Amino acid sequence: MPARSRKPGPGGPSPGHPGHAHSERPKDYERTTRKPLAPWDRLKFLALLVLLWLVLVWSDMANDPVIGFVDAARQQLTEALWLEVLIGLEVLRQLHFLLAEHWPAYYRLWSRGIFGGIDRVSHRLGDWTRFRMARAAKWLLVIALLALILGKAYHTSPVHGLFLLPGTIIHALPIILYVMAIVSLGILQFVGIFWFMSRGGVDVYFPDDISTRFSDVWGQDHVLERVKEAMLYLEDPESIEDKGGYVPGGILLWGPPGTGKTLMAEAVAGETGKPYVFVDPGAFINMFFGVGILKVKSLFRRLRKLAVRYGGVIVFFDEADSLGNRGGSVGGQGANFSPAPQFDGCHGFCYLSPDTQAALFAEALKAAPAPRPPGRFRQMIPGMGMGGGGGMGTLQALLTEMSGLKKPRGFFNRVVRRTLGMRPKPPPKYRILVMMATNMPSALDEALLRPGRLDRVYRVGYPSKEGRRRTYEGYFGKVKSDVTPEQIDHLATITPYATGATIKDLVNESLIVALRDGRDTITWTDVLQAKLLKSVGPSEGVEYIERERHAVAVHEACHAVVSYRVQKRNVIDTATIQKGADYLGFVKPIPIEEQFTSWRTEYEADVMVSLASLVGERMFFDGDSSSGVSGDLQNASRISLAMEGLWGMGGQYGSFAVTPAPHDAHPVADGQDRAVFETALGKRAEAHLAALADRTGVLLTEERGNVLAVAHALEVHKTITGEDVSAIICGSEGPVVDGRPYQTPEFAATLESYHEQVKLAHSGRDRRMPVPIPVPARKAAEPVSAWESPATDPGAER
Amino acid sequence: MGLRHLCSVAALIIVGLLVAGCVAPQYTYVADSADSAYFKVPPSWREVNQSTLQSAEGASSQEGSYLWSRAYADSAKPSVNNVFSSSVTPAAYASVLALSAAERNGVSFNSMRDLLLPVTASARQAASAAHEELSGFASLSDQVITDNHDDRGIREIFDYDLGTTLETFDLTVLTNSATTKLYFLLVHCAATCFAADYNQIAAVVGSFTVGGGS
Repeated sequence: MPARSRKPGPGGPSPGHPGHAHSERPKDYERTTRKPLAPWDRLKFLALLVLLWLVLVWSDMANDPVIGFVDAARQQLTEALWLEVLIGLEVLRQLHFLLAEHWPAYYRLWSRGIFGGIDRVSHRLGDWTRFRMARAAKWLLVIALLALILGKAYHTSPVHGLFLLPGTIIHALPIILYVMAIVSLGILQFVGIFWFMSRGGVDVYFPDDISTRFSDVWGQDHVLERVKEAMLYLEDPESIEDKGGYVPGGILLWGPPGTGKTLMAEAVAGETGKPYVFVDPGAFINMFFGVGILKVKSLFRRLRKLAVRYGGVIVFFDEADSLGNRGGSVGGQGANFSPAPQFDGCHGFCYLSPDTQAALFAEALKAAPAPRPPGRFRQMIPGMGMGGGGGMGTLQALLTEMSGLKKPRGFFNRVVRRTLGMRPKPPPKYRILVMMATNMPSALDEALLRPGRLDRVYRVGYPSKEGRRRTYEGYFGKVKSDVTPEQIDHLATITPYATGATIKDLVNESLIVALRDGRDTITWTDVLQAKLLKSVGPSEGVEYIERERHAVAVHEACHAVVSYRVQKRNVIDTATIQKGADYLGFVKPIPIEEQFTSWRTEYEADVMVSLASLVGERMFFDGDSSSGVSGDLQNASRISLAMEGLWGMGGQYGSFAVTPAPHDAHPVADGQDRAVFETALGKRAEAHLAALADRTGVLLTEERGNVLAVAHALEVHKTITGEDVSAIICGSEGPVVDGRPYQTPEFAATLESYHEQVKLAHSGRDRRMPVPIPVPARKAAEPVSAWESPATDPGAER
Repeated sequence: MGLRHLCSVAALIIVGLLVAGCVAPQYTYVADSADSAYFKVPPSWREVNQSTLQSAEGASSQEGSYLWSRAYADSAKPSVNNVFSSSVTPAAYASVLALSAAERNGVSFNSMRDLLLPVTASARQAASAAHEELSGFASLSDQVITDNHDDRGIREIFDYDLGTTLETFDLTVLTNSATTKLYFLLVHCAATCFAADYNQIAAVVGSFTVGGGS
């Protein structure tokens, strides 16, 4: 039988070795002889033993200056017999290998006969028995070796040497203790450093330490009810545990900044009868590896202690995003909870079949840009990728602690009881309610949010109108004011995205306005002025030349009057001709109520308000118009195209949303396709715009007097409120402007005359400017002059 | 490496071990590593039992207290008699003594010479005055020794008639630089034996090395 089979490899003979076929290594059971050893493997142990012998010879020579090499070698040959025995055994072993490599019968005898027999016998024993026997044999071998060494060291018999060892150890105990003390000092330094570094960042409050109550949290009733429920179960766990349930273990509150998440947590602390542990956001920022883990472990040790002692504990992690994540993102769950990228509107995804859903989802992923967090978080979230503040094992430690509360704990419990044959006691029920708050849920680790850790995820959104009203009432209750409940209700209406923080700021700003005026009671006018200040920001202090000021005022007045007449969903919040950073003025509408769908008539009204500037300029300046309408036309065009191509509000059913989008943009909605107005879609959109422009022209013709009146108020006051616009048109008294004179025929004629003069100056036929602004009987209040911050998000800007 | 190579290497090692194992060392090497005293004796010289040697020499001598001592005699059953009385075969006796401060002051080359038997004239006169029966003194060699470690001492070869035979003594006494230790080696046997085995005795005395400790 050949020793190994040879056959060509897949590529035939290798080019470097012509004629030598690639040989496949035979399997062990196919071998008839032992695999040859490499030369080094044959000699290495012999070389090592000879080297050892030489060391002993050298040692003899070093210890005795009289002895020469030859005599030292001879002496070691007689003294180091054990070494010679080992060398002899190694030689025998190599001879055995050599025979097995060249003599198949010999190899078979050993591999199958002797070793195979031993294997067969030993495998009759169980694996565990063999393991124990092998372990016992190893121990015996170690003890025997030790005995030999000790016998040699003590110059006595090996067994006696073993008995002498304890005496030597006791004798050497002082030095052993000394060394251990030195080592312990070194270790203690690190333990001390880590102990000190793992302190801090965790505060424990007991009932009555905090005065905030649930009644202080306004406008988040739906979330508050859930939090109260979780807290009630913590207070009375039997009510759910007796029925087979368990106390919810974790709540995540997420939402925009300033919406009261931390306040809610404080209220929980104030209301609960259990200890409340507050964890600082920076508590898990650690300089050294392991400090964060120690902190987590020490935190949960304390929590378990408190939970056992007081029957429950609440722990709150503020700004939980500082815990970081391990690379994954939970944008789907935390950010929008939407199964697929969708356009606004009806959630038409749900009623489709699963196959259709999958196809649409893939398309949506291809077409839609990757979901990005808004604004300033864009640059921050990627940085959280590999752990962020809570990295280096901290998050993992937290996850383990949060889900590992049911394991038996303690040395006595786990080791001693088991040694005595007792089963370890299960741990007591640690009732720990974990609350976390964040405004960046996408930065949280997915594993943190699974049920069992954070069972409940609640969005703390912008407060409802009722919530805002109660918040306003709360903050106005803390200052002196004569603002009526109706006015507060209105204020809540016109501040749709106000949060607790912004409401508090607005009330404070109103107080500052009142104090500046020498009063300590806030009036409705103060509130509106403060609101103007907050929404418009400070003036740049730039004065228009008169005819330009009038043109800008007419432009904004056209927007304002058309908005007043056609936009039923919105009311005007502010109209201004204060020049800002990138606009000359704007009219800002706000929704009267929260509404989640938009209708064709509403879009048409929006287009009319946008087109009002161009139509109005043409009407008031004899067909002339300015470049300031570009933004308005852009808005009108985009809405009109979308109505025709996307929303089915024109003459077409098909949606242009299914067409491929270059550069992450939509060809219709974003106007990327310049040829779109040459298409049938573009022509229909243009026709629609023209029709709406005609309707706007008719409206403005009817409202000419009102446009001039509002323009005059803007020229005089620079900034007016929506209520002032309403007052001017209705001839009533507004907060800033008294509208009554505007509805008198005399003043209307004056305004018309003023406009004609400005128009003459504008056309260049009569440059006699400045033309004085006609002044009606004014109300006492002056326009606000001290502005603080630039306005953002102007509605219809010029 | 083929079979032939391995076989030759193995055979070489085995033969080497066997040959080397059959050849014992040429000398027996005696060492006191703690006090750094070394010498060698021919393998036919056997060591005198240490406990009988110690009981014979006592805890201390007039010169100092014993730190270490060994005795060898060219005999199948060596005893302290070979060492401390006349012997027809060579006997060697080496010892290291610790010197006290008072003893240190009394150390001189002459005191070294007279360490075991009176060698100097004054010592012999004192001995005869004390009616000690010592005769046949003859000084054969008298050397002063210094080495690289500032150890210094004497080597004295002399004869004495011990009553039955003329005995030749080869005494080497050394002290370290701090004079805290005294090393000595005495090899003696009958004069005829000494003359016959002089080469062996010279090799033993010549190997006596003390090593620079304080």
